[in-house]
Amino acid sequence: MTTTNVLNNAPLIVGTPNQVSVSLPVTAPALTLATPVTTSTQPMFAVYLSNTEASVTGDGTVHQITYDTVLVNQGSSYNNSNGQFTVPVSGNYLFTTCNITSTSDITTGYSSSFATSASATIYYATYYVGTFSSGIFKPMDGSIILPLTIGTTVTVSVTVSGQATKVASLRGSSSTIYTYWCGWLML
Amino acid sequence: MPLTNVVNNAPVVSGSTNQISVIRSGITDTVSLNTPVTTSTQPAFMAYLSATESNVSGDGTTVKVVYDTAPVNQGAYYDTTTGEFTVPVNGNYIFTASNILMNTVLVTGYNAALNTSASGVIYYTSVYAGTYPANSTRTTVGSIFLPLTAGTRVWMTITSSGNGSPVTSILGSATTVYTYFCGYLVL
Repeated sequence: MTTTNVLNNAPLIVGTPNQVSVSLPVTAPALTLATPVTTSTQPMFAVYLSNTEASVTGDGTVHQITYDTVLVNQGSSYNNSNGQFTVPVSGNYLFTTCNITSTSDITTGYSSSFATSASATIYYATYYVGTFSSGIFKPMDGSIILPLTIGTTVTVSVTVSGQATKVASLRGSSSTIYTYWCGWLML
Repeated sequence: MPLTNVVNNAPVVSGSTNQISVIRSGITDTVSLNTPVTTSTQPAFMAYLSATESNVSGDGTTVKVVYDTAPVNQGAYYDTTTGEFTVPVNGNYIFTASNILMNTVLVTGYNAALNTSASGVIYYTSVYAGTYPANSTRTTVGSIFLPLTAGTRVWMTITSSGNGSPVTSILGSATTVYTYFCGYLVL
């Protein structure tokens, strides 16, 4: 079906079974939606760690997190067996993450970061250097917008340093969400 | 698909189970709810600091952060020379920022805040008070939604206090993203 409706200086609407195109012959400031909008196909995921990952860093190891449990995974672009999100459509993505660590000894630095297969650039969500007591739960959180092209893989890692052994664990639970990662293709 | 008539350049939206009709300005846009959606015109930006700003606070000075490199800047509403985002369209915006601060000498407080030209209200994303020893690095991270009107300018500041001289730097790098500011007009 194609329907057009043209008045003087009015929007032009063209409809087909799966899409609606609208153009306006003069400059207007904004796109306005009068009703709530949801889609079942926009790439979007929210995943968390259902069990504590014990002794994964603390010695400077960059530990890539495999969030194993999926709350949302529209488009199935997040793989909960390897922790990778594979960009299904080029665009700007918003990511947010929070990773809770605990340590069994004094540490001197902790961070969490995003990495992509597109370049060697590391995008830090959290970056701390200092002297940090053992046992304290530290949230490593942050959000970022990244321009990504189709096929790029994205991962989240945490690094805790200051000891010769892996004294830092990542907290996870099946009933309480501590450590999670979310992302979506921005409309 | 029901079509709603359009008169006198007025915004019009109509919807059905799987479709929405929307008004777009200037050029023809296509919106489909059966495939992922992206737009090249929705205001969105991500900007980061490509070099460390050394010894800019620590003595209570409030410093505007000028994120000088912008991998995402749809509509070019973020100015990399001033650090300010100018709201192009009335609406609700999400902002997220992470500022990594380093102090070479002990400080007793630090914060990061979002500021707007609309009022004197300060929107803190992080506030810390305590004792932070020499040569430590920490993250001030946060996200917020704000309703904003066109023309309003938005920028980030950081403040570090507790020392008589500026001993706090903002961490930046051309190859690693530490300190950044993102914003987006929410649909």
